[in-house]
Amino acid sequence: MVEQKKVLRWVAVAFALLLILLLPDGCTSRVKGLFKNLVTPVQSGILKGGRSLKAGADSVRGFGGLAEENLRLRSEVVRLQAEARLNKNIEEENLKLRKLLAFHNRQTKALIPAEVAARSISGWWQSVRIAKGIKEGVLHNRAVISPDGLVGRTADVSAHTAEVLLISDPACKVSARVNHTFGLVTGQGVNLKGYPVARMRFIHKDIPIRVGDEVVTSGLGGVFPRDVLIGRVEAVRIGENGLYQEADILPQAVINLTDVVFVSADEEGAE
Amino acid sequence: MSSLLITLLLLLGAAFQTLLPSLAFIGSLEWPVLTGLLIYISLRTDGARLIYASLMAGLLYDSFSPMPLGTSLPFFLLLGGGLHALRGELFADQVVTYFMLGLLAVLLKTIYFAVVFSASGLRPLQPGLLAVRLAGGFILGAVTVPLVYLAVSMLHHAIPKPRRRWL
Repeated sequence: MVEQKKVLRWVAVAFALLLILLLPDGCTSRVKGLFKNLVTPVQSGILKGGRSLKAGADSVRGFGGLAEENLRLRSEVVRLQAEARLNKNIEEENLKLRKLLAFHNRQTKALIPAEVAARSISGWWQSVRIAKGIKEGVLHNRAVISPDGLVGRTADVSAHTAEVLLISDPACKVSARVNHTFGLVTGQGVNLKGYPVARMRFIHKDIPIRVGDEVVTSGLGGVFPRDVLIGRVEAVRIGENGLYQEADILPQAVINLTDVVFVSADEEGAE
Repeated sequence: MSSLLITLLLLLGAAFQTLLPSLAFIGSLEWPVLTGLLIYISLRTDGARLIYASLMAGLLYDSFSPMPLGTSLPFFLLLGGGLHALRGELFADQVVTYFMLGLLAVLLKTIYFAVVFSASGLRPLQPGLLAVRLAGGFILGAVTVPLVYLAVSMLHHAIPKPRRRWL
């Protein structure tokens, strides 16, 4: 009798497992969303506590290195002033050219600010979770950017949270442009130094690409807006088949991932 | 252990696991908090609650990553079921038991996900990275699971147990 009960129990488990594995996408998202919404308040509480502790420790630690910090900030001010002058010239030239060519002002896409709530539970994926979801206007497969550039795209979206697949994840592919030529950027995970890496493939082999060149989104495909910085070229080589070049890229926005990111609120993103 | 306590422990464990930073030199593996909790529960509960805990751990693990729902369930069910079957042979109140079990469980988990992900085409199989992760899994399992055991057993003993009334 006891044995029979045991067998029945494991048959029920096998059936439940099969059912979960065969659930349609919509149900899967709902189940995942339920768990995420249950745990998110706990995570936010722990995260806020941790940040307050860190801020307190930083302010105490700051008194020791005040003189060095002041010196560093002064040199930073000089550098930023020079950069601002350069930017002003570029801006004026840009405005003139735009008027002359009667370019339409590119419509600024609406962005939804979202707090980064947690990272992926599994080390096999390069993703973070943001504390905004469908109810706040975040939709599936939308670009996620930060002031440093492209962060990734939204994957699983629940009522109040969304999973963001970083551009360093092998499942995230972005059409990109470097030196007026196009290619495809694919995530390569994290190297052993802890830096996220991506690789740009299918670059025309006759176009000179140098270390430090900027890689930006091409805007092709409709998911990612045009001209968003992905990162800078770290190394260039000819691909295995000898037909194209490929370049290793350090994705700036993923390296400097801050607490807040912006999700494109564009209604026409690819589903 | 009651079902409510199991649920709360697993929810808290999942929340902690997503907030702990990953270490790049061991292949950015996660800290196996959920695995540690399931090992602890497997050695202390009956069959029905163990199945519930394994299912819950698997669903939580899959919910907090972009992998398809159900991917990790077979691993957690096998781990829980296997340990439950062996619980008569193991010293459930010794740190060294959790050290050894943690080491083995994380090693098996890394192999399981490497096989499942590469077979389903979700992740490319990189032998170098896998070797680093296997070595890292040893360290993480051996460190995290005994710590989880110590923390949870302290909490478990601090919770007042309902007294039996004798007639």
